[in-house]
Amino acid sequence: MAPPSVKHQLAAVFDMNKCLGCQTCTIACKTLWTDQEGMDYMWWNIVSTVPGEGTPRRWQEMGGGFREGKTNPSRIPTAREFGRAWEFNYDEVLYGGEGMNKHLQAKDGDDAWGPLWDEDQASGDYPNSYFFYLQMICMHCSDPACLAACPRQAIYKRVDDGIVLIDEERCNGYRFCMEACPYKRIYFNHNRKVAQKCILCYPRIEQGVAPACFRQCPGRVRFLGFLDDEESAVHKLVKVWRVAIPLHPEFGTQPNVYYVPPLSPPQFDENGDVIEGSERIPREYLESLFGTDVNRVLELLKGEMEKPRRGERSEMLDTLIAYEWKSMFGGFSRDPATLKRPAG
Amino acid sequence: MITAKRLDAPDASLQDGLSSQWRPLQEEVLALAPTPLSSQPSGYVQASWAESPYGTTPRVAVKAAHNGRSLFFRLAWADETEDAKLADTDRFADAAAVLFPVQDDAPLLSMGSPQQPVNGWYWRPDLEEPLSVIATGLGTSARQAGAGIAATAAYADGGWTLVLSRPLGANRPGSALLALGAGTKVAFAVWQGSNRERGGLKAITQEWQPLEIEA
Repeated sequence: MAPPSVKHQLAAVFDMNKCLGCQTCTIACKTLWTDQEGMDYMWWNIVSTVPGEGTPRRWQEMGGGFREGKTNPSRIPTAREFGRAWEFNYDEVLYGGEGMNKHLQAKDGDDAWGPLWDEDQASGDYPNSYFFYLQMICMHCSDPACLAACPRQAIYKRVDDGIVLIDEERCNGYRFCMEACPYKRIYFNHNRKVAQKCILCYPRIEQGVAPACFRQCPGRVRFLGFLDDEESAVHKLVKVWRVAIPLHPEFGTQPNVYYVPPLSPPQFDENGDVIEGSERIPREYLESLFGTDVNRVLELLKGEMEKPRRGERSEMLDTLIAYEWKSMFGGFSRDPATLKRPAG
Repeated sequence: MITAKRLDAPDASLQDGLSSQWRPLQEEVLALAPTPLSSQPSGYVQASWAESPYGTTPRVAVKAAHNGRSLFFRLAWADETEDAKLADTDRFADAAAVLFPVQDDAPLLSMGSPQQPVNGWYWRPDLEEPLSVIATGLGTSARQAGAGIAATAAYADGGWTLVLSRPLGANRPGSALLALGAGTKVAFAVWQGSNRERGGLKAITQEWQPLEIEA
């Protein structure tokens, strides 16, 4: 099946070097879109600690997408792998009269895994341990495996902006999309019996407002814009400077979220002295996420960082720093407070 | 040939597959077979099911009756696993369907065509009510509201007994005309939930069965 064609593609750049792991994006999304019954375990946006198992658990080992142009079969993550939304025994602990004998736990006892279970858990050995954050939303792929997998044409890619959406009127809850998505960003709504995922806040986009997770990010991590809008930061970062690259390009779906890969602090030797030129995060690990192109980008970033040290300006660094937040959103910088709320 | 006998019985009695009203009626045991893999309207389905059997329910036993007001089908099939709800994100429920051509010449295995729709009654135990669907080709089925389909199902002794019914006549625009004394055609499909069968992954009667609704 030929990938759907679009007039313009909205894309995102996430600068991993700026992410605080605060999950403000996660909560912005949760409160806006997934606070209803049947959606309680959904995190359309999630920031995982890496190296780590991620959400759903070990999603990177599940397959999906396309390998060498061919469909790569996968499976549907279970609710436990996504991480269930627990109900806790607050009443028992706080008012049960059993003092220290009762401890806070999931009511059904099934609490062996949850979303962000391994948050802030580092890899490597002290003092050279390391971790960083991986920000995930729907990748709004140019060749979406979910769209190709749906036998009902319930998934479509908008011609004007490339946003990938599930038509819940057509969705019959077969969940082939959840199997096929290699990034495992599609959830199943048990109440409505349909598949649901990040919609890139398209109702906000249509009003010129950046998605909630972009707009709310206190770290100015998230850039938005049309890939072909030469004025947009996204265009410059992805197409001109090529400092933002896709996650798992080998999945073959041409994702439209691009990442500025993380630079590393240096390692210490046994005396606690800095090992010059060393890096805390193993390149092999970064290559496993971004492919070997990550090496080019890291060298590019390092070279660029030399410019201010020499007293020169770097437009790339200025763009990544984002002195003016409005420069980040490719024109989608309207204040959401100025929108008229829909009736009801 | 499936004949819907005229019985002087209340709806509630015929809607119960275990009621004695059904006992004397002749049962047609119909062979089911998987839909062809090559016609699944999804490259993903074709690739991921190439090595896995589906449409694993070999036969369904069918009885039909009407009481002048509604047409009833009683379907019984063996199923070692009762999948009545979606217990997890990766679990699927059993399901069954009765399919009619809206026009007599509608093709069965392609679920109709753009000019030749088919009309199905779809039952799944986790749905509040059965669905009426209209299809004009593979992957096109659309729900039809207010068709008045009723379903009663019981799982016992390693099998399902299901009664699906609908008022006689073309009760909605586009749905199959089911009239007294008329002949039409009917087909049946069963999905095995424990085998993750859904959508086009099903066992189906490979040909239309003639259906006679007694005057």
